[in-house]
Amino acid sequence: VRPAPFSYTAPETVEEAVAALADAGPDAKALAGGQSLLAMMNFRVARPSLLVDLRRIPELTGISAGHDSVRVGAMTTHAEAEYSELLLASMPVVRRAVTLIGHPAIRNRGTVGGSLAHADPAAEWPVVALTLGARMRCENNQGSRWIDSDRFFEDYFETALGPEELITDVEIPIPRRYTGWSVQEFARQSGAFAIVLVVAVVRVGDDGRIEDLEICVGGCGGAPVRLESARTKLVGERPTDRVLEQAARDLIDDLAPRSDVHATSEDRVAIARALVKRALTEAGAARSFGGPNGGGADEV
Amino acid sequence: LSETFVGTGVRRKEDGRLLYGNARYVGDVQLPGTLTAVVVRSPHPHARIASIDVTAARALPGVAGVFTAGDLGSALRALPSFGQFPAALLAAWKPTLRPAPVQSMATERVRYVGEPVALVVGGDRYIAEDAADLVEIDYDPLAQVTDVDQSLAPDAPRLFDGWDDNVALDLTIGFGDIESAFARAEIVVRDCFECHRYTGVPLEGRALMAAPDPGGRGMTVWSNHQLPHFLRALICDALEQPEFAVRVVQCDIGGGFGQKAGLYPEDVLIPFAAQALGCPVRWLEDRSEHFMASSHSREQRLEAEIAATADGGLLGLRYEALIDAGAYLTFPAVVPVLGFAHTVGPYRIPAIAAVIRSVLTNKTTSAPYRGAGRPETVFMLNRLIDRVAEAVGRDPVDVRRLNLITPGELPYAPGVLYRDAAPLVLDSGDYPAALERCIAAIDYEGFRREQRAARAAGRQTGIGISCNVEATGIGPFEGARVRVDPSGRLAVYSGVVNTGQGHETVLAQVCADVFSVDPEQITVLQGDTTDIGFSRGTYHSRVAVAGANAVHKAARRTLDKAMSLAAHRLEAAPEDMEIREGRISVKGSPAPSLTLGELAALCIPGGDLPDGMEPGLDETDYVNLSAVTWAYAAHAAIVSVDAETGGVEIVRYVVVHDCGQMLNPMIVKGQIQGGVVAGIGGALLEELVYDEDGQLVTTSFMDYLLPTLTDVPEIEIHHMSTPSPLNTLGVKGAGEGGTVGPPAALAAAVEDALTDRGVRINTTSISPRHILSAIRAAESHRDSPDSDHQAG
Repeated sequence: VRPAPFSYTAPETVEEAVAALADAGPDAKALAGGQSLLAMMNFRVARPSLLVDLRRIPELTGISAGHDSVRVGAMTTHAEAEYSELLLASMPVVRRAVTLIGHPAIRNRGTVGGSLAHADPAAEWPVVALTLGARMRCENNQGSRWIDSDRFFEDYFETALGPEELITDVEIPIPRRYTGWSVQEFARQSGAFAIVLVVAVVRVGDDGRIEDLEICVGGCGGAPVRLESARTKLVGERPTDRVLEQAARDLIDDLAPRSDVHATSEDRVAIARALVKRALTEAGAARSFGGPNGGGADEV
Repeated sequence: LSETFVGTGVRRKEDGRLLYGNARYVGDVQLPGTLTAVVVRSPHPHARIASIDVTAARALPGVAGVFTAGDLGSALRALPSFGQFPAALLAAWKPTLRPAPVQSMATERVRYVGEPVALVVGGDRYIAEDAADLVEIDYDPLAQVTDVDQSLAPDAPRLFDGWDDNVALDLTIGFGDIESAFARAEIVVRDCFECHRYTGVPLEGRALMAAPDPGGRGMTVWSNHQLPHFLRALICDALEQPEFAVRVVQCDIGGGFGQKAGLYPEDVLIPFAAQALGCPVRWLEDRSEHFMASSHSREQRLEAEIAATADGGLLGLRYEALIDAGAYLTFPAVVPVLGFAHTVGPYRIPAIAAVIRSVLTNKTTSAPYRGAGRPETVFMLNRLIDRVAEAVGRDPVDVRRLNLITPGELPYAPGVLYRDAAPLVLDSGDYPAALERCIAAIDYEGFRREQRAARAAGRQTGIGISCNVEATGIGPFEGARVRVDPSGRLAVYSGVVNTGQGHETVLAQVCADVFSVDPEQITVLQGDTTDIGFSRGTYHSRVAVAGANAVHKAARRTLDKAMSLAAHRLEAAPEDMEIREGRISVKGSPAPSLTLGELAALCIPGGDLPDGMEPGLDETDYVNLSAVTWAYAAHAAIVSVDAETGGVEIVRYVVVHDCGQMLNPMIVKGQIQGGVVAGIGGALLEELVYDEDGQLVTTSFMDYLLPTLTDVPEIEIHHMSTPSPLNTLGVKGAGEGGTVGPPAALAAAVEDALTDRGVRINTTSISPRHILSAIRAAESHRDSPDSDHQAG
């Protein structure tokens, strides 16, 4: 497996990169960590005419704190995110999800922006971005714009990103108002793609009732799915076993995943139901969002 | 050096090379001007080839040659197989057998996705793959059959013209009075078991490099085939060369597992291309190619019924096997006959009758993979015993205790032939002791108590047991050559091929004990056809039995010659000589003496040799093996099942096994561990999946999951050691045994964990998909108790 012939350029600024993409037209591809694109090229499934390698562009890297959000450069590797003190302190849920991405070798090369732009429905970053309400700063040679994660993910490997457009930054709001979180992933083995992935953040009030929550599911459709009715069903409820069992049943009603070799559509829905309940149970039981043990997670 | 090495855990001689990256694989052989070959493969499961146009491919700069079937001449041929029925078995069993051999290249028709249609040779892999893209092939697709049911339908498309169905082999085997067994039965249990398709997946794919002698005096072929002499015979036939003109050299090999025991089109095509182009040509199978181009295995359906007494005593077993053979029949006898043979023990079943059919489908050819038919029928047999236990209301362990053949019944000869046409005789061992040790090691009773507590706490845990025998060390012969160098060092040459098992170490240990030297003084060289005239190679757990006994015999022969020469020079009788630490002297008087090196230097033409002695301290000898010798094992697994996700965690895994005298217990342990890991992978992770269009879906490690360190528990291994009465060293094979037990033990454990839900596990795959489907089947069965729905 060797790629078909292609041209290659490694610009040093975003401006040069978007100009190169615009000049080459829709057959050009931006190369981030290459963990998916290069494999597709080796199988000759992807045959870009030009690769625009982003790794020499300093402005695309780095994790920095804003007032209410954290800005993550698109070329930040998963490993950099995994070991970021800033992310760990402000949003441990992100760190937990990142540790579930592939193997260390993949996390050392794969990037946050690359994962979001590739938009594999079972990948961790898209589900996390959607749950926390992240937005992506995108740029082409005409200018830049912000795209909310609710509008960003469209279908299997399809996003709102234009063919000549790059993600430059991801802005993740700091989820201060929540009291608990959970990442539940069912994968067939350590490092394998998730069959189903659920990320939840929950705020439980002093009276023990749920005041607010977000819960999103990956691996159950073309794009990560926000369980929209979770708020209506659960706000004001106590997160008891009975309540969450029923809620999990109701919430997964609209999921329509595809079957593949690892799990049928029916299996995925059943697994989603179990993980939704586990995620809400865990996030609902926590009383403090911060720190590595604020929520907790299980990898099955 | 009074120490002996056989039986001790000598560290592996080959590991320095392998672990420090100094091994030399086929991909590492460096010759100037080497070209790279790429195979153009059929994208269709079944099609006629209407036309092939290679003009554009040939015109691409850097392309040296493009070959299709019409270019091959004598190299276009049906490939032979060493997995044929011996004449004696054909005569005894009279199977209906239709030859369906693989061709070295497809001519008018392709029968599976991945079948070679053209070969492109270029300056490097990039160019060759670009050129492969440019080979234009027009196919007229034909209807395909992708499973045995489709294949057996009366109106099914036929894979071969003129056949009245797609059945390549129809074999009936049996012994005992099966009718009366079922007539006397108080209990009859019937069930149907599905074994799924998976395979060996060695780290290193298949590979060949062929370099013609520039002067036209033949060819050297570097390969990673398990049977170099067999490969040489094929190449000689295909290229119309004498055997002395073709040298096959085995490089270091990154795993074989039986996948590298078959002959494949590339085994002809690469030497052919090298000869045609007059320069070295290399082909390395890549991973996605491997999944479609190297043999698959295991897929078969077993419909069985077992007759028993009211207390669970077995009376008779009747089964029908439908083996999904894929597109061609490459090893007609192996999986069918080994499958049958491994129902004969370790349980006492007075009558067994089997009807076994190998059915062609438009999928990659199925062939033996580590276990080679054993895991499938051992799964069936142990599942049936669990079912009998349930039917008679006894614990599965007690039913096993009742039925295991006892040491007093050995040798046990039920009156049926084995695959080598010798009578099947379970030769030695203590099967009940293996089960008892296994039960004790896993603390069966203790687990049952914990299980009740776990269940009360909402956790589903289960235990499963399987027992099996394993035929090892098939003949008919194996050879070795042992040479003493004037430096005092020794070389052992063997035709059996080391695919990573540790042969260099164990063969050196055997030789070291004969000469009373350290194994470090011995170099083991394997798989070069110029080093030894005849060899059968590596398969059927035979190297420790056939290879090591051959080394022992050749070493003895070389030592006898050294003793005779020493006696001659020291003016003593040969029978009065002894060897200590590589030095030969008269028994009881250490001086004078001659070292092995001194004797090698003396043993030359014109030297002072005893009458009739040929020069050279370099002897070859062969052992003939009249029958296989039977190893056995008991496996126990404890699992925890997540009934909501279908996830399985193996909590404990215990193996008690007996492979006779162990040459090296550390290496045996590694072999058992590796085998169990392969078995766990097959049960939990690995599956080769075709869609209804006949496309292989699992062509990368994203979809075909291999077990890694994080997927396997610590495997607890307990050795027993009953020397084989059938060979000098008393050894039995250990290469495949570990793979045989896990499917049955794990399925039983998962079923036990879900027993309160009435779940049945009748599939060797216990992936989440199968577990969730079995749970749903049990639920719908509960909801409609009259239905005859069969789980799994």
